[in-house]
Amino acid sequence: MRTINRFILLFIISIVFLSGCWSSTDIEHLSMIIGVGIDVGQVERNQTTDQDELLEVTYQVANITETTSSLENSEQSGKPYKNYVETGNSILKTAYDVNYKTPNPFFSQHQQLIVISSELAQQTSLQELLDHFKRNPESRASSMVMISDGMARDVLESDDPTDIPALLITGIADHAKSARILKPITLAKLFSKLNTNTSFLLQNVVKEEDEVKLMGAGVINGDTLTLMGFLNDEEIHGVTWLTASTDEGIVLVTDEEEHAIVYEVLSLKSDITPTLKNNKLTFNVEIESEGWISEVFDVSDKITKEEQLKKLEELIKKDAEHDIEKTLKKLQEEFQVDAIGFGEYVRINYPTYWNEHKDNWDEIFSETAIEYDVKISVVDYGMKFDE
Amino acid sequence: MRKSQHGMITPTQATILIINYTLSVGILTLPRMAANEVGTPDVWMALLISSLVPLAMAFVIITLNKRYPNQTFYQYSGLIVGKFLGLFIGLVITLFFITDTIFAVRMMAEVVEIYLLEETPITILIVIVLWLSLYLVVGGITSIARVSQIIFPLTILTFVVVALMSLGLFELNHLRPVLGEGIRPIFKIKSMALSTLGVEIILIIQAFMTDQHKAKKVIFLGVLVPTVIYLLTLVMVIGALSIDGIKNLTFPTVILIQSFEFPELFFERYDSVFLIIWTMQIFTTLSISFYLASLGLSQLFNKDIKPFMYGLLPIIFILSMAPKNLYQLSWLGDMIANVAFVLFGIVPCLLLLISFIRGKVQ
Repeated sequence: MRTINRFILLFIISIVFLSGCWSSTDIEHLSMIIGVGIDVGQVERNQTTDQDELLEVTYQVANITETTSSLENSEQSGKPYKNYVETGNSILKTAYDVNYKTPNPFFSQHQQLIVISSELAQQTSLQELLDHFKRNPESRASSMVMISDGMARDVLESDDPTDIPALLITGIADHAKSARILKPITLAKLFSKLNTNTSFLLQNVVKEEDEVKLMGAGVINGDTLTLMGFLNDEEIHGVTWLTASTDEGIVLVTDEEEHAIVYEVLSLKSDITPTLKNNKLTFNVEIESEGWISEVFDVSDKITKEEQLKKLEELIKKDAEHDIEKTLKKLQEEFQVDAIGFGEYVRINYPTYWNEHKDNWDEIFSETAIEYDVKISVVDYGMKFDE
Repeated sequence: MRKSQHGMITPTQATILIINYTLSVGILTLPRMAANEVGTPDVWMALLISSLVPLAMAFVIITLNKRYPNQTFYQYSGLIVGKFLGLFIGLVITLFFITDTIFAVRMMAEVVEIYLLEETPITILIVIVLWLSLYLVVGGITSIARVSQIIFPLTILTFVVVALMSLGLFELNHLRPVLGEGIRPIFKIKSMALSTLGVEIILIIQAFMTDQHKAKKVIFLGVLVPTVIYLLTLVMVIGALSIDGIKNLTFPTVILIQSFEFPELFFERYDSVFLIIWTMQIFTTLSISFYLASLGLSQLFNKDIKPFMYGLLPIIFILSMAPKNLYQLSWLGDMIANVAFVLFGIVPCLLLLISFIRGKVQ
C-alpha cells in the first residue's frame, strides 16, 4: 500500500516538474518585429518636448495568421504585415507605447532591417540612434541598417498584398549583387565604425511611385556620425570599381556608331596600395576586371575582331574611369570624408602613421592624391561563336 | 580506454576535466578583455604566448606532486610547511574553489537569464543548477569525469560548427597589420593568461589518476586544447567584428553568433543552441570546483566528504546572490583569476623549493 502511495505522490510531483516551458508563448501570440523605421517625430500640440529629440518609430510586425490564410484566399485577406507608428523621445519608449496597442508582446529576435530617415540622420548621431539595438540582448546583430532619402515609414509601406516591405528590401539587398547596390551593412559590422568614428556609406532605400528602390548611398561623417549627403548610382558604381566590393554588375557603353554594347563583369579585383614618402601619402589603385560581352545592339556585330575589341575595352575603361573620377571628386572635394575605407589600408600598411593621423584622417584623405589604373579584358562573347 | 576504478580517473578523463574546467566564462568575454588589453589585432599571438604561463605553472605543480604520490595537495602541504601553515594554505585554496563555483554559477545564471530564460528568476536558475551539481558531485570525481566526457565532444562540435558558420563574416583585414605596433602588445597577456588558467586543478586531481606518470601529457593537452578553442574564438570574433567593434560589447561571442543567418537552414537563432551547450560546459566547470572545495574541507579536517557537500550548497547559493550586477561579477572574476595566479603559480614554486631544501618528510 505504501509503495502505491509513493507512486501516486511521484506522479503528482511530476505533473508540476515535468510539464516544462510553462511560461512559453506560442508563435502566433508574439508580435514579431521584422523591420523598424525611424523618422523625425512631429511635435504634438500640448507637449513641451524639445523637437529635436522626438522620434517617430515605425514597427513592422509580421501578420502571421494573415500570411498563412492568404494562401487560401489572398483576395479578401489583409496585408501580411502591420505597421505600428508611435512618437516618443526614445526608441524603447515608443516600443512600450506601441505595445499598449498590440494584442501580443513584441518579439524582436527576427528583426531584419532598420531604416533611418535622412532628415533624422542629418541631425542625430547614428551612435545614439542605434544604441538601443546594441544594448538590447534581444535585438539581432544581423539586422541590416539603411538610410532612406525620404520617410522611413513610407519605405515600410506597400500596396502589394503579398509583400512584406522589410523582407522585400533585405531580400533585394541580399541577392541583387549589382555594382550599383552596396554590400549590405549589418548592425554587427557597424559597431567598429561607430566606435572608431570612421566615415562610411549606408545603402539608401527610397519609395518611388509605389515601388521600393535601393539606389545610391548615404555618406556618414565619422566625426559626428551624421548623414552628410548622398552618392548616386553612378558614384556607387565608382565605389564598386575602387573597392571591388562585388564582382557582379554590367557596364553599358555605346560605340561611335551609337550601338549599345553590354559588358558583364565576371571578375573584379582592386589592389589599393598607399605609399608614404616624406610624410606625404599617395594611393595607387590597380583595378582589373574580366568580363564578357553579353548583349550587342548592332546587326553587323563585328566585336570579335581584334582591333574592335581593343576599342571596346578602351570604351569600357573610359566609362569606369568616369565613374571613379566622379566618386572621388565628390568624396574628396564635396564631402571631404573617406567613406570608402581607404583608411583601412593605411592602418594596415603604415600603423605608426595611422595612429598619429587617425583623428583627422578625413582631412588627410581629401587632400591625398589617388592614382588609379583600370584594366579591362573581354574574355568571351557570350554563347555566340563567330568563325 | 581503460575502465576507471571507483574514485579514480584515467589520464584521458583527467585531461577532459582540465579542459572542461578551463573553458568557462572566458569563451564569452575573453575577446573583449583581450581587445581592450592588447589593443591591436595581434591578440591571437598574445594568446599563444600567454598559454605558456599555465603550462609552466602546471609543470611546477606536477614536479611537486611527484614528490608526494597518491596524495592531494590538501594532504601533503602540511608535510612541507607544517600543520598549521598547511591547513591555512589548504583553506585558502578551498575558499578559492568556493568563490570559483560562485562566480561560475552566477555567471551562468546571468547569461541564461539575459539570452534564454528571460522571465525566470535568477535564484531559481541558480538553485536548480546547484542541486543538479550536488547530485553529480556526490557521485565523486569519477562521475564528474564521466559527465565531462559526454559534454566535451558536444562543446567541440558546437565550436567548430559556429566557427565555420561565421566564416562568411570573416575579414582578414581585421586581423591585419601583423605586429603593426611592434612586439610589445603581444606581451600584454594578463587577461588571457588568466582566462587560460584551469590546468591548476592537476594539483589535486593528479592523486586520483590511474597512470600518474602520464601527468606531463595530461597537462600538455589540458593547456593545448583550450588554447586552440580560445584561439578559434578570438580569431573568428575579431575577424568578423574587428578589435574596435568588440571593445564595448559585453559578450562579443554571442554577438558574433547573432550576426549571421542561414535562412536555408530554417533555424535562425544559433545563439540559443550555442548558449545551451555553453551552459552545460560551465556546469562541469562549477561541479569540478564545487567538488574540489568539498574535497579540500574533508581532507583538511579528515572527515567524510558528503556533509561538506551538503553544507557548502546553501553557502554557495547565498554568496552567489551577493554580486549586484555584471560589473561586480566580472570584478569578482578578475579577482579570482589574480588569486589563482598567486595560489597556483607562486605558492607551488615556494613549496617545491622548501620541499627540496627539507628533503622528503614522510
